[in-house]
Amino acid sequence: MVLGSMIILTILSPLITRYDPNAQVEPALSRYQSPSWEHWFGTDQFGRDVFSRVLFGGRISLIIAVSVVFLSVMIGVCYGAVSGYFGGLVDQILMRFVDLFLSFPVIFLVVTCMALFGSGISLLIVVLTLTGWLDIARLIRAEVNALKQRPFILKARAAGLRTLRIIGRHLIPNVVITMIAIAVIRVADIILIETALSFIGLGVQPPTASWGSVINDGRLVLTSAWWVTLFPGMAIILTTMSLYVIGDGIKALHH
Amino acid sequence: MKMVFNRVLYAILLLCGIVILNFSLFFLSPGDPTNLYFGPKVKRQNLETLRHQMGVDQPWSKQFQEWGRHALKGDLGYSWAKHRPVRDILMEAIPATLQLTMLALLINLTAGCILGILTGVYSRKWFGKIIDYLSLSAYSVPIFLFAILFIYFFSLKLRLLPASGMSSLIAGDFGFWENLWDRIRHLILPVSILGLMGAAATSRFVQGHMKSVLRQDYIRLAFAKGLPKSRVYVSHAFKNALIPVVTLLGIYFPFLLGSALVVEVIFAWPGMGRVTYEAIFSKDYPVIMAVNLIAGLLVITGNLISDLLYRFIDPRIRVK
Amino acid sequence: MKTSALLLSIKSLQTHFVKREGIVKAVVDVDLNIHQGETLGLVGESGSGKTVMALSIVKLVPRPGRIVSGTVEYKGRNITNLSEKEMSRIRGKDIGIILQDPGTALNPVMPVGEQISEVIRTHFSMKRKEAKQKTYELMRKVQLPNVEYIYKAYAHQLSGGLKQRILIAIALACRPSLLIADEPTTALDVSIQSQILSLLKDLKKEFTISLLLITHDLSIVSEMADRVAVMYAGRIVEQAAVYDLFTNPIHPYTKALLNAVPKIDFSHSERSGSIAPLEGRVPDMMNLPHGCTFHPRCPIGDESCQKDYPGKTFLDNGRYVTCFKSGV
Repeated sequence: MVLGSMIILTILSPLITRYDPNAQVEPALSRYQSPSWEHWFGTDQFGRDVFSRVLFGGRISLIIAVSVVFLSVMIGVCYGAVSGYFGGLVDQILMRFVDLFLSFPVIFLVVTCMALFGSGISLLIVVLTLTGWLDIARLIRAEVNALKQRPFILKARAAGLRTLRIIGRHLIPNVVITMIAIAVIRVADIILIETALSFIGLGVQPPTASWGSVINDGRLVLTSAWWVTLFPGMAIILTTMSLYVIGDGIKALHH
Repeated sequence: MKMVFNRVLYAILLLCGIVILNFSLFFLSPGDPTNLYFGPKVKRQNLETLRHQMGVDQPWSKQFQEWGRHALKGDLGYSWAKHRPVRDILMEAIPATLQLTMLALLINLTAGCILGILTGVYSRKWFGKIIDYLSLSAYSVPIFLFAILFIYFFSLKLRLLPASGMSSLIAGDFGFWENLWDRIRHLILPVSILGLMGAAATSRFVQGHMKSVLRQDYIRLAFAKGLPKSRVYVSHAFKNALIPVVTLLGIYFPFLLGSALVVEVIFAWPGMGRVTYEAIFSKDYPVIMAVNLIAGLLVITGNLISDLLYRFIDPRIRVK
Repeated sequence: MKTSALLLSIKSLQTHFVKREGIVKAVVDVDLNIHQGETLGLVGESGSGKTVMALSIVKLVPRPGRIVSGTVEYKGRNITNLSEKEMSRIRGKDIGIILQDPGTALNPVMPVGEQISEVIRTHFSMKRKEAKQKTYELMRKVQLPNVEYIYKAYAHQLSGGLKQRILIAIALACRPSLLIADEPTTALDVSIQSQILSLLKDLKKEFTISLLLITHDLSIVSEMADRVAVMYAGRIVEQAAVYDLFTNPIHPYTKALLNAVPKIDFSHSERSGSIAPLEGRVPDMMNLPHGCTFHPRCPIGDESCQKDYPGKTFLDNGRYVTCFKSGV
């Protein structure tokens, strides 16, 4: 199963590496062409080649998702590890803080920030990261808590190793596998959120392409120019599905 | 009892925290709310007057106090874009959203639990695997895609269900039953989308739990006692697997509200999400503030309920 | 020599686990007999296949394990090929089983009393109230105090000893003729251990049950068993009456086991006997040595032991050994 998804992923990597610049801007003559040899996925309402938009949008969506997850994981793991390891008052305080942020529907928070601070890719990344590290922290904290009691940690403490060293060299390597599984799944989640935001106009702004915004472009002409919606849609589904499968596979391997 | 009191207190504390957070965000944002009303070539005087009217020329703490006091009395401010009290807007919007989300939650939990149990029990048979794949696919599809596809099929192609709105235009002429039927027809699409997507997530969760329960020693003992398969599953496995679902309630509320926002926008459903959406594009701060407050309230309440419920249901915690 | 009726007869039983990495032969060519009213002790180190053997008797071997060949006869009836439904009628009613770890063997969200009464209600159609009364009786028999309170309690509220008694009650609820007890005392404190053992002895007498007692603890075996079978790497290497085994062990493994345990002998003034731990480790079940599986650790093994597995050498008193060098 995991093997199958690996294959899917390799199909996806050309999407990332393809460097299609804004070859999106094309003469308005070729509006809404159906898929053909020249334009594999057809063209949209401005005559832009849907194929390159999907590829380029994929690049953007993936960059956003990966950066968000990378940053969230960094923050979340450190936070969670510290909180889980120290326990006691430190743990309580840190976790209350997390609780506070979690009590908020993520999307509302994101949306509010987008409203207040304007929009833009970097902003999107920041906001998604800020809301994203929270439950990673929680999960890591739980794992660390469980690991804390294991003999090898007690040995390290008995040997008098400094706290930072214990966390860094002993605890964290053991949560790495779980971390990777969580990260992979998170990327898929973020892709879904980001595309939803772009769809309703609060994410990546036009004329930049994102899978979500391309789908939105095609929304009104679904009956006639179905290709504008279908291809980015399929791209999203394939990507997220394979990511989920990989993530599950990693989790299964771990046990 | 003391424990319940503690949790409630904590919940209120969180709520205050949210309000403070909200307010701080507003103050951190660049730009001036008055930009909405005037172009760049505006007389300074007018600007000042308006600012004073809107109350944004006061320092942070004062504004916060004002707002707080009003809010406690039930007055949530005045919408800048719609020129109506925020409270009225919300009173209309919240029930609409609740209808949508509560029904969706119902579908979510029932379908999710059933599917999850089925896939957990039959995980090796072919139909278990098929359902598993289906729910994985449903999980991977973004909500909006689902929504527009559904609209495409059911509304445009098959002409079965309405594509948007809460009720038809001529609803005013309907009698009670027709009104009800009309409302139901409008509900079906958005509710099923929200519900099914949630069900996919729930079933994944339940399935995982079910599998782990079935590996336990006490299940093996149950078989060793000679209990028939049905009884082993129903009395022993299910109870254990389903208890954690209660915790899901708490986690779901934020997601539910968020997804509802997207669905409401697509279906032009006059609920909280739609209101928020419009408020954002018109930079209508009071509305946004109030909505965030309500959203936070709902989430915290949801968490509280699920937390208390869980403590009540799980004998390991209940009976000490 | 008593010749009471044969209750359980296992012939040439083989249970294998088919894993991706290879086949684990957990139970190989096992012959065992249990007569009515007797206690057979099954001894071996962890991983020798004892638990799998017990599970194979009632066909509860978890996947990917399967009974590959051999027969199990119970009360003269071949139960190896029974359907799941028929098997479930025997389990609990005719054959009771106590699993290894009392901590995890009870359902955490069901009151323990109900876990006993459901066995009764399944095999005998009885009304709830009647079953409850019977359960109370049963609980008193296993020396549980305060039965009404404990009936309603949950597993996490009870101590290890109490939980074990509940498990015994569950196993005996329908008065089975055979009781299989897998390490019934391993997870308990020493003081509780002896209580549980004497309880088992009393119950055995009162209900005339045959007992298959699985353990790695030789002292328990010496106290409780009539006959003993020693298991190593999935095979029975020696089977004898308990007295014979302890006073005159034949198979090198049995000898080594007995030597590895400190003996308290008050008849001598100085310490008697020395502890000689066994050399080597339990073999990797997927990579068993050729010939006699014990020979790498055997003090008297040589090249002749490497070719085939030794057959059974039968001695008097129903005893047998599988060793080339049993010297008989």
